Amino acid sequence: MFQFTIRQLVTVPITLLLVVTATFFVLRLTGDPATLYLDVTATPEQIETLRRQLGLDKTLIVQYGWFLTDILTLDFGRSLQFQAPALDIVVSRLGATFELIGTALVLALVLGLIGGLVSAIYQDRWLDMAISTFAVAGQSMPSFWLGILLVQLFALNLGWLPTSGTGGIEHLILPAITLAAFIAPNLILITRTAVLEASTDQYVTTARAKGLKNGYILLCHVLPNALNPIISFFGLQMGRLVGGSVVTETIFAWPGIGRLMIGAVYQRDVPVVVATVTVTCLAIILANLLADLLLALVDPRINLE
Amino acid sequence: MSPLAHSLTRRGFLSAAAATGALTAFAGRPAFAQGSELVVAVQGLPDSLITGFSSFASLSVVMQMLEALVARRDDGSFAPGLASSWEPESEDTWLIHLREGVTFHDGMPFTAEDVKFTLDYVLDPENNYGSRARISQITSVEVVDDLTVRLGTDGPFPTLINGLSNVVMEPKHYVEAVGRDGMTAKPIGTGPFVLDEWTPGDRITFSGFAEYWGGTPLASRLTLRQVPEGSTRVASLMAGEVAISEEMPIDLLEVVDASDKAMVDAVESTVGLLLTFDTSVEELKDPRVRQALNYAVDKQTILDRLLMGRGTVLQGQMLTSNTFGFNADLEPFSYDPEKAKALLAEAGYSDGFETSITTRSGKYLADVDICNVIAAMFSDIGVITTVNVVEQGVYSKMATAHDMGPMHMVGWYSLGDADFATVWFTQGSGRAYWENEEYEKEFVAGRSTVDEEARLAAYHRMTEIMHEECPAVFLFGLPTVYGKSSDLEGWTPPSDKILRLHGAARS
Repeated sequence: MFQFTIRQLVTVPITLLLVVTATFFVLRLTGDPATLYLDVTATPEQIETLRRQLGLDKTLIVQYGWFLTDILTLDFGRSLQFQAPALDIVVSRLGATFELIGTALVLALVLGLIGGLVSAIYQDRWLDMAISTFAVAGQSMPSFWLGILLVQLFALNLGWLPTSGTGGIEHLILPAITLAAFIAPNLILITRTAVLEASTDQYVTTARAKGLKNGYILLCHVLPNALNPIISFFGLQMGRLVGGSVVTETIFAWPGIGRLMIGAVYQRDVPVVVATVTVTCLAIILANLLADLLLALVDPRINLE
Repeated sequence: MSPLAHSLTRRGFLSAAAATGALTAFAGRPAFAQGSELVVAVQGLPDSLITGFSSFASLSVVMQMLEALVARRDDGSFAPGLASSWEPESEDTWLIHLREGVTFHDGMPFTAEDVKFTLDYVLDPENNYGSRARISQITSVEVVDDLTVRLGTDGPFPTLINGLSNVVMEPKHYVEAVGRDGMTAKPIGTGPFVLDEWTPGDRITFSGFAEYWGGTPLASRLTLRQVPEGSTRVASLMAGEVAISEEMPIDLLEVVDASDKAMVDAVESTVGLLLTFDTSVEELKDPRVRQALNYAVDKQTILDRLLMGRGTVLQGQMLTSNTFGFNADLEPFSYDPEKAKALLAEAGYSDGFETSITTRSGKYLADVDICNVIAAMFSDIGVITTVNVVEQGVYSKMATAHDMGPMHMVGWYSLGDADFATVWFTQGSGRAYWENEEYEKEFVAGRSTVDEEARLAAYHRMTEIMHEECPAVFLFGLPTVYGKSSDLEGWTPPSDKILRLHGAARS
């Protein structure tokens, strides 16, 4: 397992290099930060001056060379828009994003596992129907719409929670539910299927024959065997959560890196975009690695070597 | 029905009131403090507090803390700011008299040295100051005494006073002590509010400046909260969390107006929304085709249905009626598809042609919707039109390459003076897709005299030429639409999107 981890970690820089290179070229080729930064009244001379100051007057390959050298020394450069080092800006927003994504993950996990289990236990009865319908509806519901509905109900009609912004824990509830809704419905359905599948295995029949209680069989025999697809699914969801955080952070005015990244893309602020992409990329890679390791832990049949 | 429509009910209203109470409880502040605290929901906050950005979002924040020599009122007219008066000394020199007894937030006095320091910085092209072009005709800044500055200009400079209203005065002693980065991190000025804390992407908080020359602001605490989503801004207004919400989504205005918690307050901005033709495109070379397309658009219906009646139909010119140089003698192009078809036939396009409109999304109120409706109206007279929606970065790239496609939607701000708007149809601007010799001459005439009669004559002639030549479809004078809490007093919506909150308070 140790060797596997090392092997996986070795590929991280290569993945990152590919991602930041693609980011760099796409941003440079589709817009000019100098014209976006300056006022519409700026003269061509002003634009030229700024382009010179930013090194945009050099050829793209030379710019890329500089860019790579800087990145290798972990210097993402200075953001024109923010007038500050790009990495500092991203780091200052990470806390808010971790808070949101972390809460959403826990919420989705609890909802997904409980929902899936209950649904499987009551298979084909009305509770299962209700939960499955809810999950399918949740899956097909656009999250921005759900977010706006939640604001309408809990902030405006009931007045229980603030509409948006940051502050105490009460500010976190609606955005976390909205973001959790990105993956919870899938998780319910996957858990349900996995549990149902595992409960048809022969060891369940054996356990029943031994006279074990249903709850014990479910938690100690079926669930551990059903975890496999659930963990794989979780590893793959990191990317979706980051994507979902863009929408959620916009609706709820949450100052995380999803909104930061989109704003920076619009301004062609390469240093900030690259720093954000690198950080999210690392998070996704680590989440997948963690999922692989967890799988090996819970399922002895998986041999990572 | 919009999702927010439910809040019209009495129950909705009461629960919104409860939300306010709950919020106050969460914030742990006594209820009576609310009167002196003002929270505003803005669409975007600047990414940096640098004074050189010229975006509205940036100016609106910076101008809480720093002030210009010339102040603008909410209706766009000018008033003495840090300068108490000004006068032309000769054709190309001006004397600016500074207000006495003004101090910066750190207690140091504001003097002529600060003016010279600021203007020298702004005028240096290396500093990329956003509004530099507005005052770039200033050639010298001379300190006469502590309270007098002499400005030399490159020939007569009629828009000097207007231009100065965009440039905020910086404290020389402070910038020299803390450096540019220090000033950007914690700007200080002479304005009514002092920066407390800035959380990028979230909020900026200020305290009222007790020593403010115009009197202590009514609000002792001001918070600008960034709420990018329009419907969330409306919700936070209806829930009583904020006193003012800017850039209201047009489809939710009725909901807000019908509630007794909040109301819509709109004002005519100085932006004229146009559909500009690239007259080098074969089909658009003939002025009759361009006139035909002006007659083909039912502007009043679009205004009523898509802009909910807010704003105005432009009077056959690019200038809004609140702009110096506006030509009251011109009439809007009526909606007359038959005349449009006849003009097309005269120009040899009785079978119509295919063309396209380039637009951004979310730049102007209902921009994409307006373009789609116009495209359908063009298609009705045989001009089959597609709409290309591009994002700002791509749009800028197209503008720099001087290739926007056959037509593009753009709104030009006049900031109250025709010079700032009409410049975009001159060759020198790099943004013109039409050329007219007489127009160019009149434009130069208009900016090279301080005689108002002569300037008006020039702009009236220019608007006439544009009316005949139709380098664009003249669409709408766009409104700036705000929502405000019913208990807010002492505030009116600004035509230039810069919030003036000195006298604002919730009762």
